[in-house]
Amino acid sequence: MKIQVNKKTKTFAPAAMADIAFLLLIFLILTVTAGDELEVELPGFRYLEKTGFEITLALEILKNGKVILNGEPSEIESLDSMLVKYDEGTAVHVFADRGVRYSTVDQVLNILRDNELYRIILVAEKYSDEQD
Amino acid sequence: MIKVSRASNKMNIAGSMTDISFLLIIFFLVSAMFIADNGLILRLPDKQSRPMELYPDQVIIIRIEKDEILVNSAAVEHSMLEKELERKLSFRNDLVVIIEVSGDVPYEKVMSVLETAKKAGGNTFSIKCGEDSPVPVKIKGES
Repeated sequence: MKIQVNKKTKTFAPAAMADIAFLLLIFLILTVTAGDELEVELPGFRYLEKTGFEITLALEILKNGKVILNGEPSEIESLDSMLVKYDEGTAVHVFADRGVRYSTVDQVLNILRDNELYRIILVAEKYSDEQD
Repeated sequence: MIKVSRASNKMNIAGSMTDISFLLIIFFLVSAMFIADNGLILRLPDKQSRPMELYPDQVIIIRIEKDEILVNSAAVEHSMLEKELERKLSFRNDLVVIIEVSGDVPYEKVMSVLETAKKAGGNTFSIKCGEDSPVPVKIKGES
C-alpha cells in the first residue's frame, strides 16, 4: 500500500515578509532613539565642527562634579584608575554640563593627559538662532 | 471589437506594506550612519612636552573672569570679542591664543570664547586654569 504524503504548497507569503520588516523597523527605531540619554545639559555652539570619530570612550561631567565613564558613575578621584586600560589613540568624547565650573573640566583634562589620552572632543549641541 | 484588458482591482496590501517597511528600514539605517557629534576637537599637549617659548608679540592673552573678559589686559565686551580678535589676527595669523580662565567660570563661557576665537581665525590655543596649573606657554622676558 502506498502512503500518500500530503505535500505542502510552495507558495510565497508576502505577509510574513511584512511582519519581519516591521519587527526590524521597530528594533531600529528603538535602538536609534534610545541610548543617548545624557544627564548633562550641553553648552551651545553656532559654528560646529562635525566630529567624525566613533565613540569608544564617553565621559560625562555632571553639574555636581561627578563623572560618568561609559555609563558607569564614578568620582573624579577614581577616574585615573579607570582610564588605565585605554590606549593612546583613543578619542575621548567629553560631555560636560554647561554650568559646571571650568576648574572641574580642567582637572578632568589633566587626568586624561596624564593617562596619555590626547584626542579630546568637547561635545556641544547646536544652538538655534532664537536662543541667545 | 477591441477588448480592453482590465487590471485586477484587488490590491496587494501585504506586498506594498513590505515595500514601505523596507524603505523605512533603509532610511533609518542610512540616517543612523550620519548621526555624529558636534563639538570642538582638541589635541592636548604631550605629557613630556616642554612649554613653548614665545615672545609677547606672538601671543594674544584672553583672560576670562566671572563677569568680564580681558584681551591683552583691556576689557572687551563678549559681543565685540570676535571683531577684536579678527583685527589682531589679520595682522598676524600665526598668533597663539592664550586663554587664562579663573576656576569658578562656568564651562559654557569658556566654550563660547573658544568658539569665538576659533571663528576669528585662531589656530593654536593654550588654556590655563588657576594660578598653580602647569604653564604650557612661557613668554620670553617674563619671569
